[in-house]
Amino acid sequence: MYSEKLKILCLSAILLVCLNMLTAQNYPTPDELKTSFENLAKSNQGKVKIHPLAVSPGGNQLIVAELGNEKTGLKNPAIFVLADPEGTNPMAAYASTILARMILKDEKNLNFTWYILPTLNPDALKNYFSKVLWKNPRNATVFNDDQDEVADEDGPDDLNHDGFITQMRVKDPLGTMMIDETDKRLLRRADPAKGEKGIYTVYTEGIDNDNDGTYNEDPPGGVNTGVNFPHLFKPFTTTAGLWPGSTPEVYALMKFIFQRPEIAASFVMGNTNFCLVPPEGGRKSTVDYNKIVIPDNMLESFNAEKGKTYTITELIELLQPYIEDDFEITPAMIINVLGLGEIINPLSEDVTWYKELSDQYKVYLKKSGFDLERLGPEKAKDGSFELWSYYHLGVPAFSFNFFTLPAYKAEKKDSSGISTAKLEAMKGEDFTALGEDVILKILKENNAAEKYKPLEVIEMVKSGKTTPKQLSAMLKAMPKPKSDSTLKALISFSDKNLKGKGYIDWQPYKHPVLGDVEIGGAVPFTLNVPPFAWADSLINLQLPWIFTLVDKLPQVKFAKYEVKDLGKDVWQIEIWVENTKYLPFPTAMGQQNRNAAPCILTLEADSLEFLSGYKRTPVRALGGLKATKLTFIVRLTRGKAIKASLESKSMGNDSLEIKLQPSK
Amino acid sequence: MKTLILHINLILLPLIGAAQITVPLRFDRYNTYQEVVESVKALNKAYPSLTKAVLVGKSEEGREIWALEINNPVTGEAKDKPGVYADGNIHGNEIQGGEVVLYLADYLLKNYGKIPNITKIVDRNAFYLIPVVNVDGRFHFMADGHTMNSSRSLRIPVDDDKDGLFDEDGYEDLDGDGNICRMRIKDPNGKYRTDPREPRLMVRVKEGEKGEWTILSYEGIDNDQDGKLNEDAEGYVDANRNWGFDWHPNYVEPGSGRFPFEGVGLRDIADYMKNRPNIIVVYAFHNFGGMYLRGPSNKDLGELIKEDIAVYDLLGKNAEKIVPGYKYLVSYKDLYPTTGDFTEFTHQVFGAYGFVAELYMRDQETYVKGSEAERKPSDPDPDNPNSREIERLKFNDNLANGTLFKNWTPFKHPVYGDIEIGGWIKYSTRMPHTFMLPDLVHRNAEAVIYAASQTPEITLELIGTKKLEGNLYQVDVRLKNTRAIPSMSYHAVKQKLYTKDILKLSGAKVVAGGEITDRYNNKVRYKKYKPEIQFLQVPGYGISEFRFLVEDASSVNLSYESVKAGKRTLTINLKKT
Repeated sequence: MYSEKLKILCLSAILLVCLNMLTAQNYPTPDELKTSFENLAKSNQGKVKIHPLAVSPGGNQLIVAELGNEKTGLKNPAIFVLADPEGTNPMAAYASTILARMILKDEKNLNFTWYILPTLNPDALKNYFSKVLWKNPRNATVFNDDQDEVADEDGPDDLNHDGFITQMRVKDPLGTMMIDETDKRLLRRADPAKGEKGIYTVYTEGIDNDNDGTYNEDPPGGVNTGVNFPHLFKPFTTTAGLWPGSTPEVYALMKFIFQRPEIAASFVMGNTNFCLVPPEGGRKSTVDYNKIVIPDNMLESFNAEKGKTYTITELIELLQPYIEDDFEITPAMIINVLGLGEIINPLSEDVTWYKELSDQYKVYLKKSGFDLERLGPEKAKDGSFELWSYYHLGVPAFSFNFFTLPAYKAEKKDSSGISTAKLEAMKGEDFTALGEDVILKILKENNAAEKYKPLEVIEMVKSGKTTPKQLSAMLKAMPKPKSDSTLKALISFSDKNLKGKGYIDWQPYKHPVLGDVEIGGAVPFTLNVPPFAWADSLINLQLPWIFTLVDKLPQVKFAKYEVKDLGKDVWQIEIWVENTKYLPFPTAMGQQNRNAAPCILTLEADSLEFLSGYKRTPVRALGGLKATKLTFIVRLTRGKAIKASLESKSMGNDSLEIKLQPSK
Repeated sequence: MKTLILHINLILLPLIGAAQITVPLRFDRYNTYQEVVESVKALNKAYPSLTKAVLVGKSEEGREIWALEINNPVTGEAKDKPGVYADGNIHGNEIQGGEVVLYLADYLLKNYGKIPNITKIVDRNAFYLIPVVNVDGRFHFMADGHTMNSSRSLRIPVDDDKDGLFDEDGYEDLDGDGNICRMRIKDPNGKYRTDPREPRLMVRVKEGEKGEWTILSYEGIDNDQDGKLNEDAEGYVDANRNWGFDWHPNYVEPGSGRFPFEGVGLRDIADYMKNRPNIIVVYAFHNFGGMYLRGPSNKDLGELIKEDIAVYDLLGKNAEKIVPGYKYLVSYKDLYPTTGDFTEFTHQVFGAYGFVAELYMRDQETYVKGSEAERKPSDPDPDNPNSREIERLKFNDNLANGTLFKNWTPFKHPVYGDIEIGGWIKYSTRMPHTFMLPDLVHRNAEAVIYAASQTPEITLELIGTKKLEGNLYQVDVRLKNTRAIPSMSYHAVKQKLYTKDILKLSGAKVVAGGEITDRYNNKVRYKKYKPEIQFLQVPGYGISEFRFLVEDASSVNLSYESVKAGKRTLTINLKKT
């Protein structure tokens, strides 16, 4: 009787929490996220379990929820989903709970194991729920930013007690900012070349707590978990951490992922969007492993020709005859000896499918009625999880940002009305039909360099030298007065959708040191976090694309086999192994870093003897929708069968019985 | 009765196989891992007031990594003294590094109070000594069959041959002698024949010559039946490529591990050092080659700051003289580029000057008379490629009584049939015979002792006070370093690794204060805010002078606090002057 009561009590408690989630008025806190997943595990036993990952420097327990089929789980490929890598995106963190529910809705999703980490930086995410709103991506590690005698002593202060850390502007003869004539609430940098003089200096709201003449230069906290990963880690910066993986959240995550070679892809829900905008190339790099020039002082060692370019394979072939028989030269040794360095731009083979999938995603979003005319997502930062996944893990790395502000549209009557997105979709003849005046406006609106004249552009499009799509890409790449357009978008969004609450107009304030100042500016998080009421529809519209992508992950199957009787119980067996899905195994980058666990083809039968080939054959790469042929010569009594199996950590398994009779 | 004997045997069992460790330690032998740990504990037990035995962490296989800390608490807390760190044996097979570090500890302790120079550095410095970093590597190197090059890795399983299996095809000590030697098979079409000058050696056959042998690889079988021998032995994760500065993945830096500090013991050591920010010099003992190496380890990092190079030059050139034949070199250009290595990490992240010492004594492995003994065997005779090997065999025969080379011995291999096993044993080639060990450990320990003697020694002294108009006093003070190493590295200053040295005046209101840039012309760089706190670095053999203008007070207190160079205080009576 007693236990029955207890049961009801427990159920009520769970129900209450669930109801709370349903009727929540705000994004979940780190603790609520954890509880939400713990409850999900309770109500989905056998499908959901919780792994404790690490305890943050601020004492918050990080968890990874594992969703999968307990019976087949061990054999299934896995997906890793990291929400909110920096602790600055409560919407992304919330999306992790929606994703979990989406996954559980359809049993076929559990053909994969899903690992979901609801936030990597709970210390920072807590800032969103504090009394004073301030976007600070640092965890609770103590860091002495200004290298003085005290740490974390000079952060911003909410001087006017409005609950936000905004900005202070003060009239200053040395000021560089002036009022933006398009909207008096905005400031812009004065351009002395145009005869403009700055009148304001802008500070973050606060006082000089440590009296060192600098404002808010040593705020609380230390490491941004979103930039503490090893790829392009930036040492000697204030938020990256002492070394890659120096903070326990990141170290534990790298370890967790590497312990699970079944992870076939990574998804981030945060501030970047690799689904829409593939990882950026164009970093300065001299690394091209297919065009290696041997430096003069090593020509002799490599037996190479001066000025000639080589691939790594060619260099190995050059060296091997001079090396002892039992020593194998690996590509890594060549890269190391020549000091070639890491790959830092996405490899062209990978860019191809990234672009194709991005185009498909745009179509998908358009069909769903999603407005693509938004501010672009953030670029992946050096040291980020996104870059690490692609470059160091070598898996397809995708990311979503569910919200950016609608792009600012100038309301002037003489606007061209043509955004870069519109331009991209235009046909050549439609573009030229716009005429010189409109095209001039388009060029100006996008800050095109002076050298681009409307007539020439029309001519280029007509002659096929360029397309509106290429033109759109070129215009997007033009340097923009970023803060201006972003702030304009923000203020316009705030006016239209937040009743002006996303931007605080300047209010006078008597500052203890600076004297008469004005406090105002963008409300923290307005840029990347919409009102909670919008969250579900935005997430539900974009997130299902994850299942389309997951369905494109490589899957290994036997395509066919052929047996040839060579006589006297000797057989030639040809086996075609195929990847039935769109994405390659592994990515081109994965082929370079050799981290993917190989797929193993095993041939077994009693008394099976291999004359050519081996019992276990690793298949280390399989292109998307491609097959590879493996040939064996074996000896086995006629009529017997060989059990062939394919075992892959990340691509699934397959098996086949090969009958020893000649193929027809 | 039987039960009693069994019982006694069980009690005695742990003692069998491990020599009884007594202090002072012996250096005519190589210690097993367990003996190294016992040595640390024995030193701690023998010198309880000067030492601490600290458990730094644990390895992949759960072995304990121990540090011996030497500090005289009578002269101050360890954290307030320049820290000297030394470790050894980060590569499991490079065992003599462990002996150097143990010797350093033993030598400092047994001579404390006896040799003034040693007493002084023990009183003035804090020593952090980790004899063995790669504890699993050392354990297995000595306990199992190995080549002189194997058991080098951390015990992190790696699928070297990318066949989905981990560490499944290592060496086998087929003849059970504790060594992995070469296997050769009679083969008239082989690429080698017996060297006519020395029957234990082989030479490559030339065009038109008849072959005699095929070298099959090192002792072992093809465990995973993939047609390759011993291609997936333990690891490989190189403990000296897995540190968290300038770390690059495996495909760029072989053996770097999958992420920085994948080696759990290394991570423990990094945390240990982070918690001892006073460490200012670092020595890591490896083998071999006879080198003291400084960074940068990779050209992309750019050259070090010239004032820091001056410190390395002083210590490195001294080491060249202390250890005959050793060369002081720049890692990336004089040896080869590396990334993710330990001393680069300590230099860059902790601001501690770091040397890799590559121990070596092969030049002394000679059996020749007089002046010939000084001949460097660096270039082998082109007509006799085995000339150096022949000389080493003479050393082996005449000074090591044949214990360093296993003569070719017939063996029945399960797959190849009749073969021969032979060659240099694991204790040869990369490390000296134990009779030479005392010389090696002493000379290299002296290189560290010299570095300790050059760690910053700061004095805080009054230059003078002056009464000014308006009840103001001018107080001039000087910080002086009487040693070659600055109070913090120039790299640490440039990259703002930690708070600079602090000079603080208390006891009176400070109206102005700043660094005296030209005392003779009365030039002072006054600090605009908080003049009572000044941030500074004291250069090697240098001074740093400050002026404070203070309001009337009877006396003022000055305190100097440096992360690496200790603390000083000074009380100045203003009324007396």
